[in-house]
Amino acid sequence: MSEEQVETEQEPTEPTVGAGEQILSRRHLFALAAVGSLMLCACSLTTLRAGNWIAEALAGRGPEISGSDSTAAADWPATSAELTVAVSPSMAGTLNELASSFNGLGLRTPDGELMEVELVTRSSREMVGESVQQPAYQAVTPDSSLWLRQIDRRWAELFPEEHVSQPASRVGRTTLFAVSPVVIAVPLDVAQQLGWPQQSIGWKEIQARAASPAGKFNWGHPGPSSTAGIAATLSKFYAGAGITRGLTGEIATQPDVIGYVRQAERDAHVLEAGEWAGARPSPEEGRERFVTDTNGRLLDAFVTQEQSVIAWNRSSGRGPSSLSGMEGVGRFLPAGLLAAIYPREGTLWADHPLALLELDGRAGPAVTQNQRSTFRAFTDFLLGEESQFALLEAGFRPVDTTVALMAESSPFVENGTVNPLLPQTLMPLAPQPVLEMVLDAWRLSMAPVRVLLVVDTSESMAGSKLTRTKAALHGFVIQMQGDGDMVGLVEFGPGVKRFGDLQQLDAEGRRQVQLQIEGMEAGGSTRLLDAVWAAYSELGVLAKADANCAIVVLTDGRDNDSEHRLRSLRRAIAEAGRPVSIHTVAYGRDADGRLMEELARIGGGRFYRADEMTVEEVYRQIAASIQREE
Amino acid sequence: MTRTRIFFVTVLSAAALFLVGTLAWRTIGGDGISPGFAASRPEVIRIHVVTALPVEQWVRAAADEFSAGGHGTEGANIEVEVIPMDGLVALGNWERNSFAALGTDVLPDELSRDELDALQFFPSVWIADGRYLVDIANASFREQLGQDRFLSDGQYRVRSLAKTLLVWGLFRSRGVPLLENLGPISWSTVHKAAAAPTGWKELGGDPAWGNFKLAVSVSGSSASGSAAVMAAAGEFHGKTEVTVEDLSDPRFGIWLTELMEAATEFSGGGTSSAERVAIFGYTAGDGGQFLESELLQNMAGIQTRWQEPIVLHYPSVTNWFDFPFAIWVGPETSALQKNAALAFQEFLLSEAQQLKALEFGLRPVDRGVAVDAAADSLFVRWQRLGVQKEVSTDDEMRPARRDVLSVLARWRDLYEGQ
Repeated sequence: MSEEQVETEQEPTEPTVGAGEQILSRRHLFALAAVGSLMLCACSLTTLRAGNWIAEALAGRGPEISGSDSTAAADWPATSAELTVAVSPSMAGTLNELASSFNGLGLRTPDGELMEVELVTRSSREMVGESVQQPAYQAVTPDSSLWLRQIDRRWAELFPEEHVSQPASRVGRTTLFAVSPVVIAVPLDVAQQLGWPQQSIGWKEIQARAASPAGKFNWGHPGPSSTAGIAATLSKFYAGAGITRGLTGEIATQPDVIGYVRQAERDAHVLEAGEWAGARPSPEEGRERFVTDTNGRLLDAFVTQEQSVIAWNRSSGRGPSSLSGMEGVGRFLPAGLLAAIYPREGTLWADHPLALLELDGRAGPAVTQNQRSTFRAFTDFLLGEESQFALLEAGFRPVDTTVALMAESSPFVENGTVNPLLPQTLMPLAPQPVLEMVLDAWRLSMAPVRVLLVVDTSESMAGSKLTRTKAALHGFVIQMQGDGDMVGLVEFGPGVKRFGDLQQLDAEGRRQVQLQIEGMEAGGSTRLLDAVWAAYSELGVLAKADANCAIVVLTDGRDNDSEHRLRSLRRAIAEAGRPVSIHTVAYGRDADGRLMEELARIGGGRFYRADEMTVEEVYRQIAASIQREE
Repeated sequence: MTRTRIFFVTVLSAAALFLVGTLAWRTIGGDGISPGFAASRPEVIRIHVVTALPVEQWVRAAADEFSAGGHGTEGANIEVEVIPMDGLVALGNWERNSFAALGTDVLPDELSRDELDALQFFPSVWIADGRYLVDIANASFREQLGQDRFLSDGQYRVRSLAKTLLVWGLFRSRGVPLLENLGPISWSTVHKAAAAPTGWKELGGDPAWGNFKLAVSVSGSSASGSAAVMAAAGEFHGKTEVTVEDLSDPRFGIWLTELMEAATEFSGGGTSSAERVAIFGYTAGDGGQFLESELLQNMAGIQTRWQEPIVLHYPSVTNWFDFPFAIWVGPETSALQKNAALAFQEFLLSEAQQLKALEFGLRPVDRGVAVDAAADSLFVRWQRLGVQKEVSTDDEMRPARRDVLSVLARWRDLYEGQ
């Protein structure tokens, strides 16, 4: 055996690493080569990426830095095939099931990306506001095409063009996949009393019954964030004007029309997100939540989509179908079958368009080619036979008109409470400027409000609490829509720090209030009751019969320094007897909830609990509530 | 193993990696040469065809058949992707350069990888609703680029694919009293019906039908909607060529506003007036103006859902749509794509596809193919509802000019302003 052989034989058993005499086995050599290759690959990739980055930077295509939060929130890769769709509450449940089925197909784009559809729920009106900015979705399906027109109109206003034949459009390819007319849902016995089904019944009869001094007929409808709400609100203008078409701005603003609408608004229970205006604490019956009017009564009629009536009747008036399409609203109609009344004067359609937004990349990422592919595939899927029958089963009218609504197994013929050959008349949607005026007039028909926002800016509010509160207050001011409304800001800590005068909410007034909000600073102790009394005294002087006066108090702590005591405040308010309501917000865990609840009770207002996540929504609800106070 | 071996293996690995890295760099970083413009021959040539909505279904079916049929050019298979788009919307996109055509000072060879990628989706073909839209787009290109992008002669010239026209249609139950009381249907009789204060009560119909409702596409949002308003203006002024002055005439404005009060508001969905009547029934219109092809395509659905058909009536002045196949001749598309487009054009003009058009209610441009030449022809199926085999072309509306289209796009604002 040679030395070399010996050396070779020893390699596997005695690998040695000496200084200057490193002898490696074949296995280790390959391992070394592999590690080296990996490192070189990593270096190469890094170099490639860096090279590309430098090339892009030189070409002026570096990553954009945006100061907009919405842009930061709305982001997706350039190859993304995930399509996010904003869907209206009334279609959310059904579309969610269909989207799941679609995702289960595992379709891929030509470049191999997985096509997926995600849904986010928005009111149709919210979609309009968000779509002209940079939304976190690429497609929308509001409950009616009328909202798409609002999006395009607002887009054209933002980006006017003079040198082209056609104005720019934010709304791209649009497809209808299911429709449902707006109807008045009425319990079967009530409907028969009204003369259904032999007699045609109109909006005007419903409104007249609700206005009857006997007060035995309650009806309600959603707010104008949905097509059902617009139909119901618009019907009041038509009825007030005594016409069935040709509603103009001039007609809509006539005093007698406004007077009629004002009264009709008070006679109807208008359901907003959460509850309807004028509703009182919701009694519980079993595990189901009921929402009633001030007399503890459920409704006799509610404006909704035909599909909701079918769904309600299929679940025997119980279960998840709340008719409103709003989460957590609870029941407001008695159990039992409902009849769909197609108003004689005409109605609107919820036509549920699915539209791609032409996000062009100017304020955030553009809609990708793969997302377009997903949109097309999802559209085809919704128009497919299986989906169309699923939509029929859910109570919608499929757009595939060869699908017979009157077939034996169709939900449209189950109990004769809906009529697929109706409606025959359409409520003309007023031209856009008039429509906006009508919606404004709806707000104008409410009494103007005077609100003092009493805000705790003691030491404990420092940091993110105050930041969130400022955002919530800004939201509150935006929510106040009437030019005749007035808002002031009272900042308290170790005393009333600042007492802002009530500002009329025209452009300048809004600016002043916004500046006051931004100028709030935290520090000192908490003289809550003194601040409330100061605000009450101020508003009490201004209180007029034609305006709603309210105080909105927010604190995160306890009164620890006031000269007033609760008892003396209660007595003073009772003696003053002024029409000023007090709404209170206990902010965070440390807030004195009992004191705030009692303050709201004394002031005839409502008490809310809020944290940093919910404070903005709470202020939004208060704003809506105050505007509807009588 | 000796250090020599280690060194040798390492050098080889490094060399191999360098080679791979270099290739990767050229692939990822780009070298300014697009596959579409390179001399290499791809296996698949993909063309995008922006297609007017009334012919979308026919063209899509043809595209599927064409792509699956192994049609090719210079050894490459052709794949056709249809992009449905109303002619007016497409025109707006051409005018504002939404398809991202290159400027006159940009050469394809100088483009980066990203820019070349973006051109993959550039339309090779535009099938507009009418030739006048192509002419208006060309006028815009002449202003921006100094030359046409769709040619009127030569190999790549614009050629019509099929025809249809605007017709009147009335639900049978509505047509009987209306025609009895007001006479043959025209814009004038429709205006009378629209202006009737008590609606169907005084038109001889059931009062429960409410007011007379007119189905018509929205002007400014669709080519057929603008054509309908043009036709109304033409009848009002007794002309076949409408000018901006005609549309701006205050008397016409009042008349049109009264007329359009009966027009139903269904703004979205990219749906035609015929589809809307099928889906929404009488609320979308007791009758109205429809593209003949769209009405015939939806007739079965109308009968299924509303239990009665719509009867066709032909206007005395016809308004034709000829769906020109216009091939983009700019540098954004390769020679292979242009030839692929040409091959698809020839396929659509073949006798087999012209016969197929009859199943979609479209009238062939091939004079050798009669409208009743196929068993599945919708012209045969719905002949009992008033479909005419031959349509008189004595009086035809002249197509809209660019300035007229601009006014039509904003007619609603114009008259609401007044």
